[in-house]
Amino acid sequence: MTKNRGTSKKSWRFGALVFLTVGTVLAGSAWSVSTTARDVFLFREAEEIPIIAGGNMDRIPALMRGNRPAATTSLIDKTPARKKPPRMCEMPEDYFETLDLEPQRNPGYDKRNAYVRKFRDRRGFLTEREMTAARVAWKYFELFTQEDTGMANAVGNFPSTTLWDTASYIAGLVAAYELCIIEKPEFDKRIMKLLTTVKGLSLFRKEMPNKVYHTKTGSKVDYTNKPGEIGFSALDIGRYLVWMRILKNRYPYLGNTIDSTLLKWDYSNIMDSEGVMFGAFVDKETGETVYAQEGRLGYEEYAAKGFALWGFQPRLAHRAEPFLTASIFGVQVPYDGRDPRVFHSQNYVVTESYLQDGLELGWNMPHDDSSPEWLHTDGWRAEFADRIYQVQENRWRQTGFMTARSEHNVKGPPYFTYDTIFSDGYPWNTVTPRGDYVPDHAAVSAKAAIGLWALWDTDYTDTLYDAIIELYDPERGMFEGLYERGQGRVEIFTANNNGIILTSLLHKVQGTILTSFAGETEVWFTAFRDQDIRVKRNMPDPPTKTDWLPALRHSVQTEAEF
Amino acid sequence: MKNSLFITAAVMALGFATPVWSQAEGPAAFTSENAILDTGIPFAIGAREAQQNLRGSFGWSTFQEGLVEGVYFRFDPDGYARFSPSPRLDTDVFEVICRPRTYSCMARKDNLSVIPLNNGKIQLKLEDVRPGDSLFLADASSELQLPERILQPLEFQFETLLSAGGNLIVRRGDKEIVKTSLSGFGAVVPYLRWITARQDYTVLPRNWPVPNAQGSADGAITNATGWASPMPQPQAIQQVGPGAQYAAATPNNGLDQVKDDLQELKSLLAERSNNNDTAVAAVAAAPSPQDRTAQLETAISQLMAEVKMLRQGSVTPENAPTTAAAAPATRLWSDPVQIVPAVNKPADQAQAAAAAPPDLTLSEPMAAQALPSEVDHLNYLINEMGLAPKTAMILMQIVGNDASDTAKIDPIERSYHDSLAMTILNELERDLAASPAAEVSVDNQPLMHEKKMAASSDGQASSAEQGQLVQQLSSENIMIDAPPNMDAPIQDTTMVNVKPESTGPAVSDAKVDLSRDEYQPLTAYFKSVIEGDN
Repeated sequence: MTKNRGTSKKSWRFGALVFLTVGTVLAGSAWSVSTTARDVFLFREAEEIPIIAGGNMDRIPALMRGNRPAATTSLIDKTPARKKPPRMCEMPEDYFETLDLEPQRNPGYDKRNAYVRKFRDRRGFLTEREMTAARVAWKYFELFTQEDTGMANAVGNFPSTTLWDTASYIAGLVAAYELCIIEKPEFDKRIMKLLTTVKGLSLFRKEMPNKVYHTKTGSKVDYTNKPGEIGFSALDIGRYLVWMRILKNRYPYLGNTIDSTLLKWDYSNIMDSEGVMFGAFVDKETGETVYAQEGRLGYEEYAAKGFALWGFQPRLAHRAEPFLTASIFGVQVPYDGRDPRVFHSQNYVVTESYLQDGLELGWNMPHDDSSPEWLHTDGWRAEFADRIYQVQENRWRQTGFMTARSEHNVKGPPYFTYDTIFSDGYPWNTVTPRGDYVPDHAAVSAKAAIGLWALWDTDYTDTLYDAIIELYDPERGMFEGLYERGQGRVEIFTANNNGIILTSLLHKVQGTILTSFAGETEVWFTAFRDQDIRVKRNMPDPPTKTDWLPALRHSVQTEAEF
Repeated sequence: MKNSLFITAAVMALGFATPVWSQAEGPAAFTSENAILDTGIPFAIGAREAQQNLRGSFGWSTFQEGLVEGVYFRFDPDGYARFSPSPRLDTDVFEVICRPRTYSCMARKDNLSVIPLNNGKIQLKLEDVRPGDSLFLADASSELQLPERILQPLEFQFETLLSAGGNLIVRRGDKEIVKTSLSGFGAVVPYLRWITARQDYTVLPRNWPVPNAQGSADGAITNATGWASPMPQPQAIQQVGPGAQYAAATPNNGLDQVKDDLQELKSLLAERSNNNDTAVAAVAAAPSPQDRTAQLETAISQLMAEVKMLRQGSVTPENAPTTAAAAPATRLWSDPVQIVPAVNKPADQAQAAAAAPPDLTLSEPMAAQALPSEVDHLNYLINEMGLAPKTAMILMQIVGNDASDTAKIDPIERSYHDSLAMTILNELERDLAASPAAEVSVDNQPLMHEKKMAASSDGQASSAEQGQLVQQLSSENIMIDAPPNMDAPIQDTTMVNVKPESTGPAVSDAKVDLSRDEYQPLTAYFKSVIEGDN
């Protein structure tokens, strides 16, 4: 028998060779097939997107940037913008039946962090009681507006005012016109006089409007109403900017006057590159200007939106952080986390700033001009506002104290109190600006009560309404409030109180006060493009979508926590 | 003085009861005129000025806050303040309010009001307290009954007691009517005084934590003489209690009050020296020259008769009239019959007096009526010292009265008179030094002395006071006027009575060194002059 000692097909070497050969062939084939398939299946022609002049992809130079329209949701998303509602006397009888007021979603945040509240606004025509209150509130401005300057006194017959209170006067003026208390000639006469006076105001160190002005002369004054200058307030200016935007959007014929006023101001120090707002005051020792961060949770975000409505980017000021919460009557009440002992500024929680945001801006983002009324695109603001309402109703239900807290003037020392839900570590803390605890001055604030009534249609606000709606002097306006401890009315009359009450009543008729801008370009954005003034004064360009402030959400409280 | 204080307190109480204490209502309260305090000046060590975040268009942009005497405090430029043991200033609060645009402030807590008075004292006012109610000061373990007079201007001792804290309790029978914590009382009272004194540290208690030389950035180790230390300064007259410093620190109110008190003291002294009423009345109603002539003639005739009697030996020394010093000096004028028989005076001196130089300020009848030595001294007082005739006569009368009056005064009473008189004189000196009149020329000095003398005589000061005044006037005049070469009559008098072996400069030395203790020798000098020892 002969043994074949040639190459055996059963040797391990042969097997390995075959395995490597086959593997290589298969891998090559697979690569070849996949490459071919990718080329076949993913083939498409190279696309060249043309850059349209003035379009989003056109990185146009600064000289031309002002012509670009400000990016809003109606422009970007192609959704219908909110229209200015007709005046109350021009509304058809079935006007409210045609409105889309019912939420289409369940309460809570949506995926874009917009918020749907579980409460409803009050909407409808004003009743006779409400019209009477509106007319009486307007009486204040009829009585205390200075003919020479067109400015209204902030408090009674004391001839001084701030931009915050001037904004309240504008609010009252708009409401009076829209509620058909005054007609257009009266409206135009008053607003033109006021705007031209504001344009001519001597600024604080050629920068921004002084904190206080004498209403008879329009001159800069200090807190004692003597000629002098104090500094400027970013919060006051922010509120004024809100109402300038409301005016300009509602009445475009005022646009040039408004723009020319705002173009006189120097914004270089009022907001830094991070979007923090700064106020200014004069150092007592050196006389130099000192800039200090201004604003606490509530007021800060409201004022920040005022700046954002004019193209500024208050990214940090618009955020809630740093904030903490305090559990009061089962509600996690948010308050500013900056320690008053360190920053020497009280972190008071009051109703007013949340009310103003809701009434005037609908708790919406500054770039939102198209969302339905039941949806609030600045979601956390609406959600926080609900907490502010709920804790006050809970206090009423659990203690019997009717509660609508805000800052308000009082007659006699200490003249002004922050009647807070929470401040400096204490709930229901009524404090003076310097921090003294003055519980005797706790009161149901008239503006807070009517504001809550307008934005929260509940049994509790019905009670507030009954307490306040006839709290007036028919010749001088609505009283500031009703003392909580039974001392009667807070017998003082202010522009802020009457202005907010008129705004609340107007909100019942027209909804969110801010409407969309009907034009395309604005002098505010196009002016001084051929000079360096815009850079020096930190004037913004028309915002693009990338400039929009982010819509955020914070943890939602789903059940009471005690 | 007490009466005046009661009246002041009553007026103040009425003032506080009126509505003027309510502050100006509304924003007008914040006009700059209403600012009475600089919040940049710390009330105590550690206090700081802070700025307020004002949302509105008016208000005080600054305030001051701090901790002192165990209480926290904050105050505004208009003086409105709160003191509380709690940093929130929310419990057990003393509240201070001020009348707009004034330094008139008061503190209040519950039913207790603390009202500062013009003299630096304070007064407590308790509502709902009736006569007969009992007052107690209680702490945790004990209780002390207080007299009702704590509701009158508060004495220093009571103020210290109340400042220690505790509770002020008012009981009606066994029922407790009022219970007020005194926590903060020890800080509020200095604060009220500090306001009234325009933030002057000198009114604060000695142990008060006053910031020292804060703000003096020059870094100087020593200070110029004009530097005003914030610490309490030594006072010329140390009174007891904090009101003493208050008086010095409140120039207008304090001086007025001191003057009022002096006037009150003078009136009290006047009541005590009724004996001098007639004397002053006699001086004030000096007879006319015709009357004087008639009186002189009568006196001469009586003198002649007396001389005649003496020659006849019918009059013994025991029967003779007492000396001029024993008789009231004023009788020199009102009853010359009793004066003229100054038996020790030679008749030629009377004639010399009658031949007095015509340039005498005194009228000739008056000069003739006076004894020769008296005339000399009157001449000296009028011509050399520059006193007015009336003043010179009063001086003579005082000296005449001095010995007998001094002897009559009880030692304790004399000491009391001395202290009162010294106080008055020091106050007057201080007033004069502080007033522009202090800068008048030497030529005006006699006039000032006349005023002092007139003030003294108007007030019917005691003889001790008058003696002191004489001493003072004499020393001052000699210091001012002492001529290097005194003419003969004056020189004789001076040499004989003060230092017989010395001349002019010696007189000056003797007078310059006069002190209060040397007042008796000086009185003796004048007495000897009157008695004609020389």
